[in-house]
Amino acid sequence: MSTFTIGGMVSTFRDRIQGSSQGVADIWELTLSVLLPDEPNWITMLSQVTTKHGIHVPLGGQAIIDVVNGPGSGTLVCGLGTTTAILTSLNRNEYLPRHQSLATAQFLILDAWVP
Amino acid sequence: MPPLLVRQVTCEVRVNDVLLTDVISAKGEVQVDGGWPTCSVVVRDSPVSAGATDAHLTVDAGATVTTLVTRFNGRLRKIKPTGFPRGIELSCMGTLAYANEWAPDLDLEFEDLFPDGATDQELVAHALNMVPQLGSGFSAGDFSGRGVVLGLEMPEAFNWNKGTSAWSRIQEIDKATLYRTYQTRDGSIKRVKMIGHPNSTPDFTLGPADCLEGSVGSRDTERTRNAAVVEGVNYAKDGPARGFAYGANAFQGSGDDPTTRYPSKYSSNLIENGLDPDDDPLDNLGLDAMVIAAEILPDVNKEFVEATIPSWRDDVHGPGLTCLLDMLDRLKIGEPMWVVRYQWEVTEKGWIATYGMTGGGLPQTYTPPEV
Repeated sequence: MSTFTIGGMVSTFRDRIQGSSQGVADIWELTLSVLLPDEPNWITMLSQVTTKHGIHVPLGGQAIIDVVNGPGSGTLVCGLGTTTAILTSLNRNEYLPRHQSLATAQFLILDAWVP
Repeated sequence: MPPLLVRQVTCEVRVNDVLLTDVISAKGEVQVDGGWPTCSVVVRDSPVSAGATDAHLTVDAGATVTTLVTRFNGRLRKIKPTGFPRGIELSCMGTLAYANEWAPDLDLEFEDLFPDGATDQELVAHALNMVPQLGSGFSAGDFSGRGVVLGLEMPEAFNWNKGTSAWSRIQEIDKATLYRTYQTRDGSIKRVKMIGHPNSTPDFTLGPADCLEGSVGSRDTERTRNAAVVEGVNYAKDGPARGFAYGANAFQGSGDDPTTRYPSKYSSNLIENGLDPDDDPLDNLGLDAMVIAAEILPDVNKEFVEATIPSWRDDVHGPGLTCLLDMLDRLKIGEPMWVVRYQWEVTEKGWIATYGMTGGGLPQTYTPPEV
């Protein structure tokens, strides 16, 4: 199982290869296709979404992320490894039997991390 | 890739000490030339009933806990609602703006007010104390200034004519003395002197790692002058008090030579001393046109350097501070600059500060003001 933890809030899910992707820009992005095992984990993960953020990219040096609305960064443990990340969006794509959900979670990756 | 900096942006707006919970964005500005700080807050609903403008409004904002400080302290002066999407802009100003709105209804004779003359600090304090909304607690000790007793030679030049606002009065005094009066982010009223550029250690540095897209600079010699000519009060018999200072630069030559002189002219009726038309000293009291000319010269006999720098930094900065703008590579500027304007904004894109800076000229000593 994979987890995303902010403070004492832990959401648990299974990440899937199909539907997951990576992108490289000023800040690395990771899109995970996730299988949420039940409704409480979906609700927990919803509360972990940072709905508003700004990215400043100075002319030299590293980018800065301003968290405007939402809990900000947490620890992401998934099949690719462990890193610090911000969950910026969460879309439930498919409702499955036994209260499971298939969703797409977009993360900004904050650590040096090349899986 | 090293770990990124993640900041939590906070913006707390209070109207009459009540915290607003529906703030969409806020931005503000402090600049020396404008005098008072301004602030614009966008909310979903008006926190005050119709006609209840003039409420006390404060904004505490920052992108880290340690920089969550008061960014604005003033009055709500205008409400601008928008029908769709629903929102209301609260337009606010520092209380010094009242000085621009109040003017005496009678001529105020200087000799009646100050029979023994007054310093520039006393005159500024007096003008502020006359504005009802500002209270009457200002004293000369609150302000920087020249400390020269004025109005002993030509007191009528210092009369305060009816209809002239308190702010215009202060600007006249500031112009004559080369000081600038302004209000800081927290509502304090300060006076600073900004001529040339400082030779002390800069208060802070901005480099490429601090500056965002949109940073621009300029260097020009269009306003460069190799001579400063000052004209003071006009004594009918002796003519105006005069002063001059001549310099030289590589492309204009020497201001000492009338054929290559590019004069910058400056006049103020509050300058009482200097030279007579025969270039003999008047030996008067008060501000000396020669001293003023000597101080103006390094501010005009220079390459004019200006910059506008957006930055992610959320330090407690403001006008009057000096900044080493270390951007020689990109902006062709790598020297100390005055901060003349400081803007900040908190929006859905986070925190952005924009510095307006000016520089050039010969180094001058200075003491950093409060911001």
